[in-house]
Amino acid sequence: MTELQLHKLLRGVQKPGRYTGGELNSVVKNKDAVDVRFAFCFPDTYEIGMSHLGMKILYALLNDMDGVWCERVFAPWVDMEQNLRREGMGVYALESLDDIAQFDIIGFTLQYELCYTNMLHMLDLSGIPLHSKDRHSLHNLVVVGGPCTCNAEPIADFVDVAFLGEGEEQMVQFVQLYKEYKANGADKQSFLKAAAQIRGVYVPSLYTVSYHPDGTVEAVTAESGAPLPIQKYIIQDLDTAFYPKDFVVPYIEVVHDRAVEEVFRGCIRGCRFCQAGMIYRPVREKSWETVSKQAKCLCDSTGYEEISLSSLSTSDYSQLEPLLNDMLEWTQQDQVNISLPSLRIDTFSPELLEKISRVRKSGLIFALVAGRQLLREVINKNLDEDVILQSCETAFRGGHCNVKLYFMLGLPTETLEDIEAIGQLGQKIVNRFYAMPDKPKGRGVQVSISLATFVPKPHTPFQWMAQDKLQTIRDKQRHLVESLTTRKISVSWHESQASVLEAVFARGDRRLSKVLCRAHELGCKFDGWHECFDMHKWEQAFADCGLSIEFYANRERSYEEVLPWDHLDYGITKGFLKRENERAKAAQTTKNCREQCAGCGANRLLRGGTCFENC
Amino acid sequence: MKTVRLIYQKTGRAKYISHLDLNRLMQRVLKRTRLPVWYTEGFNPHAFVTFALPLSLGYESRYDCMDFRILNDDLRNDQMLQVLRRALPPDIQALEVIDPVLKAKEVAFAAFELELTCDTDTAAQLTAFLQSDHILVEKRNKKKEIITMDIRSKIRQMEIIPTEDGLQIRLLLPAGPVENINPALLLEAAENSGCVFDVRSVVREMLYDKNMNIFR
Ligand code: SF4
Repeated sequence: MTELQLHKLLRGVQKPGRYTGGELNSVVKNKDAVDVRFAFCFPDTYEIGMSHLGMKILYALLNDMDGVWCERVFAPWVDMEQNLRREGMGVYALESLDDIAQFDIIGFTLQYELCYTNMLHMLDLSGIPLHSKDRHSLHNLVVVGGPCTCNAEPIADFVDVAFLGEGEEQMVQFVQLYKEYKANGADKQSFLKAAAQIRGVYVPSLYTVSYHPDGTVEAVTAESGAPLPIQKYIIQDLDTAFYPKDFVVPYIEVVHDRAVEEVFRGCIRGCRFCQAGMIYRPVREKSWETVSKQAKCLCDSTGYEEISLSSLSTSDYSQLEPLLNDMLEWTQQDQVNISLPSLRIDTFSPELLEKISRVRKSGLIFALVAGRQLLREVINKNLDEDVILQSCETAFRGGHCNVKLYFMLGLPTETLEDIEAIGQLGQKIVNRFYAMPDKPKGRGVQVSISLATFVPKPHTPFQWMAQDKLQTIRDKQRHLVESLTTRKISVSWHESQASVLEAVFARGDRRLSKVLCRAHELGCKFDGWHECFDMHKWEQAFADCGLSIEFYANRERSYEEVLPWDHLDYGITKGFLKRENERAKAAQTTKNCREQCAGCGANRLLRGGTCFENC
Repeated sequence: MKTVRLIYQKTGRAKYISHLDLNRLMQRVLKRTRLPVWYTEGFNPHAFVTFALPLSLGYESRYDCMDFRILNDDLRNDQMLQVLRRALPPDIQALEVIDPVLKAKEVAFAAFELELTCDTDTAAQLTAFLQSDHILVEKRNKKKEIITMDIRSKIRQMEIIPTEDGLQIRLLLPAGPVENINPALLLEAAENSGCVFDVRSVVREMLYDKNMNIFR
């Protein structure tokens, strides 16, 4: 596309900066001098995609490779889609402005189930056949990665390859192999067979799924030579692993417009509802020296005024103290703010508060997840009410009079008393504020409660559970609001219909590819956006394919059932998940990995075979 | 501490950067240079920068100015130009770093070059329209009321040059804090008169003071 065509294309489009590229640190290579062109697609808007760390890592990594050019692609918003159609153009990459149909490999990162239709939508806009079987050559190979691939079955018909686990090292091997096969003019099938030998590379077409008459999976069989189960890939040592020296700095404001430094992977906690806490095991930390050095390098190369220390639970980083001390040395001099997302409420000390206040006061959000102690024990969110109240008081003392609390509705064993307990906990926090003799003067307290709907996820101890019916969730939401007696507590939630769909696709099987295809034909896209989401279309898609939403969302599975993702091995054993599920039913907690190993099996992924000394 | 002026071009894909976004970009560019730039005090410290004249989204500029303050008076302008060149994105090119001669509020005129595509009949129609004695447009005044204004009398200079596929129009228009006329007003009036054309590009070529000295 020429600059002039771009100019015409963008006429009347909102936020043209989403579609123009040319940002600081974006990588432009000579397309005639590269062997492999990789279109890295994020199936959501530019603002969301550009906030995503995984994309930044792989973009830098691939562009570091000789003869490989990786470019960024985002989903065009509805207005831009119209313009593309008007000009007869497809989805294009921001660096070269070339249509993705011209690329060797088209990769999608799948961060949430509701973006599946956008993947189809983007392929379709560029005229690329949706089904893997209809793309015959090595050209336009469609690959996917991200947390959703831990159950890649619902998208199995569309993708050629799904990457399981962490991408940095397997990606290099994979692209290298592609380069060789392409140079030799090899066919797609022989390449896929060879690629399946790389750890973490799952080629769905090499596996056949058979079903029982009741719709449950009977068995998964592998074509000869393909591994079964397919094991995820992990990085052994984060200190020596690749990390970008710079980020593309967007011109327009994006959701997280700052430098991001990853401090560790995995999570020691073992909350039973949390998929990330299970599939990213085991915990691997970067040394504080590496974190500080990489963070400084990023700030220097981007000019960002803020750096976020990222992980699933940054206050669990064992070297937070020396890290912050070291970083404050240079961040204060360079006018850079440090932000700590994902703080745990029980690690929230006055000293820590003082350090983050020195760099930035941002809103405090505490994920309590359940209101009542007993239910927190069921889900293994080990937080004591006294600790919660004490930490809120610390926050008030530090001048934070608005606290945000995050809860889930529809958790296993949940009763109406549990729902009421959410409001009661909010009330206790309000009371605690007014009981403080030294409370901040002239300021009131505001407790904002945000409610999510529980979605049972694969590879978690709750993977067998039924999701609450939509009506039940709505009743619970109303019940909570009605139980409140003060305006100092506010409650908000997202549309729960979308959570039903999330539950379906999170634990779906291959038959759902048909439903996705049908939903796409009916015009479903941007399902994560309430202005685009249309449940009626989805209901029609299910009906047209003769499949039921309840079968996937609201059915409890037995331990004996073959689950659609059982052949995808994320290190944690099914025995561990069963054990944890039973402990949940008995409201027994499990210690965190640092205190005592719970024998989940993920240690086997490590070269030394131990996570901590206690393994 | 001294104030210095960066003169730069904003072309190509950089034309899609809005004024607000340009401000944020320049903060980051200055940080990348590691020059001893003066930061405002207070809760949210940022480099103190001012632009001579905001540019509309979608326009290119071949001569734009941004002022900032530097703590070290001994730094030479050509040294700063070197580091700024390296820190800017490809479509924003640093031309010069100078000690400011005029104040930002002294900007009085801007020269524009417009490229339009249209058929030959429309080109003739457009030319006639632009050369008529009065061109009435609706505009909001400072009190936000809609007023009708004769834009023809505001145009200091106009040159209309036929091109292969349309017209090139060169304009000298009032610009700056006293009076500011955006060429979009003229194009809108032409469209309202029934001319059908495509705007291929709008480029702001130069800034002047009231005596037609180049703004420096
Ligand atoms: S093997 Fe033990 S320490 Fe390692 S992640 Fe599993 S439970 Fe935690």
